[in-house]
Amino acid sequence: MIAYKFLSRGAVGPFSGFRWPTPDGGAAGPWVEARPEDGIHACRPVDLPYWIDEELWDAELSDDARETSHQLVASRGRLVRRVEAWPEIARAFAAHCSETVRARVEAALAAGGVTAERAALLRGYSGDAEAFARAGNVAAAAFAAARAAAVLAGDPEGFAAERSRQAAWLERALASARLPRA
Amino acid sequence: MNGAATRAIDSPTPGLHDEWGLVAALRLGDEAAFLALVKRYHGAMVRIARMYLRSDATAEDAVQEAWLGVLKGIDDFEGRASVKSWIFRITAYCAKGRSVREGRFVPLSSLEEDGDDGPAVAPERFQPEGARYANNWSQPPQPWADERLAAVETAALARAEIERLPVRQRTVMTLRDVEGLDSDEVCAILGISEGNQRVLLHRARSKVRAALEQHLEKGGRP
Amino acid sequence: MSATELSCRELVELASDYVERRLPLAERTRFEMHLCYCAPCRVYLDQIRATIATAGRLTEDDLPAGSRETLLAAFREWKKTP
Repeated sequence: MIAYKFLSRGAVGPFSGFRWPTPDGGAAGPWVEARPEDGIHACRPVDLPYWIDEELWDAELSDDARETSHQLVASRGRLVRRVEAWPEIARAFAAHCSETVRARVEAALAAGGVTAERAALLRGYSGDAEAFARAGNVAAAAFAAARAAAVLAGDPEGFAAERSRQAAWLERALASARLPRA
Repeated sequence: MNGAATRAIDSPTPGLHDEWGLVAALRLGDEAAFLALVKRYHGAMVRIARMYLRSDATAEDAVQEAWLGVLKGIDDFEGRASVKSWIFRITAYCAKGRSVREGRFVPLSSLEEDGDDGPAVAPERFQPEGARYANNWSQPPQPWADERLAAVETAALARAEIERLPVRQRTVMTLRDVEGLDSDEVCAILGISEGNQRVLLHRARSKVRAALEQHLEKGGRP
Repeated sequence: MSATELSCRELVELASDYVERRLPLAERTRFEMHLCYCAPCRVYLDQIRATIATAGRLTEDDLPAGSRETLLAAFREWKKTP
C-alpha cells in the first residue's frame, strides 16, 4: 500500500537518523527492511498533523502493514516519490491554523462569559500559533492550535477534534496538489 | 514484491579481533599481551569490584585475584562470551566472594536506592501547573557547540562526573557507555535485573548530562 | 491537553529508555510525536546521546602505582607453572 511518510531534510529519518535511499529517475527507491523488533513507519491521512516534518514522501509499504495508534507500521518500505508541493502546503497549513485559531478565539471572547484565566490561555495560544507560523515552525503552530481548541471546547477532546480537522485540511490540500494543473 | 531489500541501520559490530589476538598471545605467555589486557580492563574491573567492596584497596585486591583467575582460566576460555565480558564476570565473582568472606555481602538488588530519586532535570526548568504549557520547558536546553563537546576538557569533565556518581550508577554507566557492553552482559555481570539497570543508567546519564550542560553553556543551569 | 500527550517534564524521564529502545510501543509513539512539535526536547535528546558518546570516548585511567609490578610478578609465576 502507498502511504505518506515524513522525513527530515535529506530524506533522513527524524528518529532513526537513517538516510533513506531515494527514487532515481522515475523508479521508486529500493526496499528498506526494518530491524526485526522495529518497523517502517508511515502515516494515514488522519495521522498527518502529528508527524509534520520538512519533507513529505509517498512511500510504499509491505503487505504486512498494520495500523497502530497514529501510525502505520510495516516490515519493509520504499520511497516512491517526493511530494514536491509539501513545503508550500505546509506554509499554507500553518497560516490556516493560525488564522482559524485567531478567528475562533476572537469569536469566543466577543461572545463573552469567558473567565480571565481562560481568556489569557486563548490569547496566548493564538499568539503562539501566529508566532510559530511566522517562524516556519509548522508542527508547533498546529500544536498550539490544537491546544487552543481544547480550551475553546472546554474539553480535552477538543485537541483530538482539532487534529482531525487539521488532517482533513491537509488531505484536501494534498489531493488538490496531485491534480493536473489546468 | 521484488528487489533486494537493504538493511536499515544496524549497530556496529564490536571489534573482536584484537581482543582475540591478545588472548592467543597470552596463552603463549606473551607478557606484552598481558599488560595490554591489564591496561585496557583494569580500571573498569576496579569499578566493578567497588560495587561489592567498601574500599579502593580491597577492590584492588579483588582485581588482582581476578587477574589470577583470568590467567588460570585462559586456556579453557571458549569464547562464547566476549573476552571483556568474561573478564568482568570473573571480577564480579572474585569481589562478591571477598565481600561474602568479609561478612559484608548484601545482594545488589536488595541495596537501598542510592538515596537519590531526584528528577532528571531541575523542576524549575519547567512551567508550573496552570501555565499555558504546564510541565513543558521554561528554561529550555541550548544546543552544544560541536567543538566544545569534542574538546579534551569535556571528556575530563564527564570522567570526573562519572566518578562522583553513587557507586551503582557509576558502575552501570561505566560498563554500558564507557566500556560498551550491552544490557544483557551488564545484567549478567552484576546480577541485576534489566529494570534495575535501566533506572541506574537513566539516573547516571541524566546527572552527567546536567554537568556537561553547566560546563558547556555559559552560566548554564543544571 | 490531550490525555495521550507527553509533557517535556515526563519526556526527560524517558529519554534514556528511549535511547535504549526499551519504551513500549505506545509510549514510544507519544515520545516521538512530542519531538515533532518540541524543538527543545529534540535538543535534550541530542544531549543525552552526546553524553553517552562522550563517555564512550573515555579511556581507562593509568594503573595505580605498584599494581603493574604485582601483576607482572603474578604473571611470571603463572608462566612458570606447567
